[in-house]
Amino acid sequence: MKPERNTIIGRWAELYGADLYRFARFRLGSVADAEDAVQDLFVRLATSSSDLGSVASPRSFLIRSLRNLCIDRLKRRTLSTTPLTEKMDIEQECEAESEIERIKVLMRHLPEEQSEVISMRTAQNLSFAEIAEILDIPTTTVKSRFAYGIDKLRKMLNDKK
Amino acid sequence: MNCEIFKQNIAELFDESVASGGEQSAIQREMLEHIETCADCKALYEEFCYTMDVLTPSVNAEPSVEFSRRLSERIEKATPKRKSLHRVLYRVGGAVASVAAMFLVVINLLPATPAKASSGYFGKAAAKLNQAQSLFMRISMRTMPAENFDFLDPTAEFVEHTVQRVGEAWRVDKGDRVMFGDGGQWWQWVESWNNGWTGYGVPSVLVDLMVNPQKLMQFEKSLAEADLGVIYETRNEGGLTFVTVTSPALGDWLESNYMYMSSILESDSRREYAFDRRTKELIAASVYVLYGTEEEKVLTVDQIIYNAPIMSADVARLPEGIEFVEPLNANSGARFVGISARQAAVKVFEAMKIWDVEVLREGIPFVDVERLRDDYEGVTILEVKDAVRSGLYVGYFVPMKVQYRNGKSEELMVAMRNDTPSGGWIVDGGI
Repeated sequence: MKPERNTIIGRWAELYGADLYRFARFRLGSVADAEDAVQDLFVRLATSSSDLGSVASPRSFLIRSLRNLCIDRLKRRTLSTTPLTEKMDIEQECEAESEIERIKVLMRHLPEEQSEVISMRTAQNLSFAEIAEILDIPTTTVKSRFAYGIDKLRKMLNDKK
Repeated sequence: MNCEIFKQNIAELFDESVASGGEQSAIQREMLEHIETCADCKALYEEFCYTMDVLTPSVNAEPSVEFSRRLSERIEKATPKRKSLHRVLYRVGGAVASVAAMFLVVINLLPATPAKASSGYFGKAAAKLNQAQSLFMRISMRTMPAENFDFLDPTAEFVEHTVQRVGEAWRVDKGDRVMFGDGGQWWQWVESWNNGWTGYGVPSVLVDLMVNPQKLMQFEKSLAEADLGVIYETRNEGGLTFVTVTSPALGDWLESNYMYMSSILESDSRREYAFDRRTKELIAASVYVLYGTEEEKVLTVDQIIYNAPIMSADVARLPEGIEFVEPLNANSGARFVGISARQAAVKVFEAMKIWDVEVLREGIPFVDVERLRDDYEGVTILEVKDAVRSGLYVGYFVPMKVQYRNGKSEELMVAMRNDTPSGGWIVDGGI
């Protein structure tokens, strides 16, 4: 391994470590899983032979890689989920212990592709262009997923007012 | 701009540029103008804003203050690193007690499971090595010729070791550093330093395994039978059987990874052994340390001669002009009894500041302290942290930041151990 590779990885960890943690925390829920996923990402980078020096947009690259790791972890995880229905009491859902849990409960009303875009925009403060790059889809698709998702939740929240 | 176009493009008003008050695009400006005159679209926009507020965490999920440190440690552990020479220069077999304990644990806790196929090869090879009247081996390892025998540096060149064993006597020679033993006492010296030490027992894990490779075979046999998640592969080729063992680094890594990859046992490793299919003798071995999916060969056993014609007199030959000191005598660490490793390290460095030779001789017994005077006299302690354990090392490491009298500062991991006759602490490395 070349020394500059260590430098790049250390710098990325310093610059984007907290952002990546927030992303993983939102995706995976638990603090331990989020930390583990981010550490796993950097360990893989440290031991891989990919040319990190040629990565043009490190933040997007890291989030895209972390997203894949999170998806793998979620697939492996055995969850006893109960599908939420439109009839569920939004007020009750909003009493979820943590802020993240509260938002995740709301997001479960949306298809994954819409909730993913919305959480990237709200929790990670990524631009539509960055989201498009990470998900490898057109920006117009990102915007339409965002709009459909927000509109659906808007109507839900209105119904409960 | 009409209401239909506004609704189709409403996401535009929630992109980063608008949300952060940045420069607006033409369509964004048109949309913002539109809601000034259209109550319906304004209401829709405000409801979108409200929904966004509901979905935006009011408190960010910030990582804990420990997260950055843990992340750095994981990256460091995953990244091959070159350990500076003087960190472990004076470490003389510090890991012995832990490894011995680990062997005992593995051997005593063997579950009653059928032995894996590999364990048969190891068992038979151990018996052959045990029966040999004498052994001669050539071993190459990535290390430094003067360094302690356990020291591994995957980035260094290979250094050839010759190993001789006849009866109770044995000798290991790696060029600059040589050690021999008579079954009870050992003598060790580094010719370029003109320093020699002597003592009793097992002075180095690796030397013990080099001189007594049957112990390594027994250890591998025990691992195979214990089924501890170690991976085994076997293949036959040209009259030989190759057994490959892939296992994780041994040791305590909860507090610090400082010693990770500093020795073979403290590295994630793949060990490949070649056995003669007819005689069942071990004839060669290779050890690789693993960096994730990549690996580096760090040790090879190139030649093993069973019952070689070795003269005891050649094995027990001492160099001329080197005075042998017994570092761990009754006085070693005597002034460092009943205090913590951290306190002992501070006491040693305070003695360095005023160069209190009597205290230093007790606290740093493995070296002639006058050799350290140019570098360390007048040193000032800037910071001391709590002592930590790492890997298989029997003692503790005390993280310190010091400033030398020339104004330069340096961070050290001072190795401290108290398995001395007096029970007091001594400096075992890191300076």
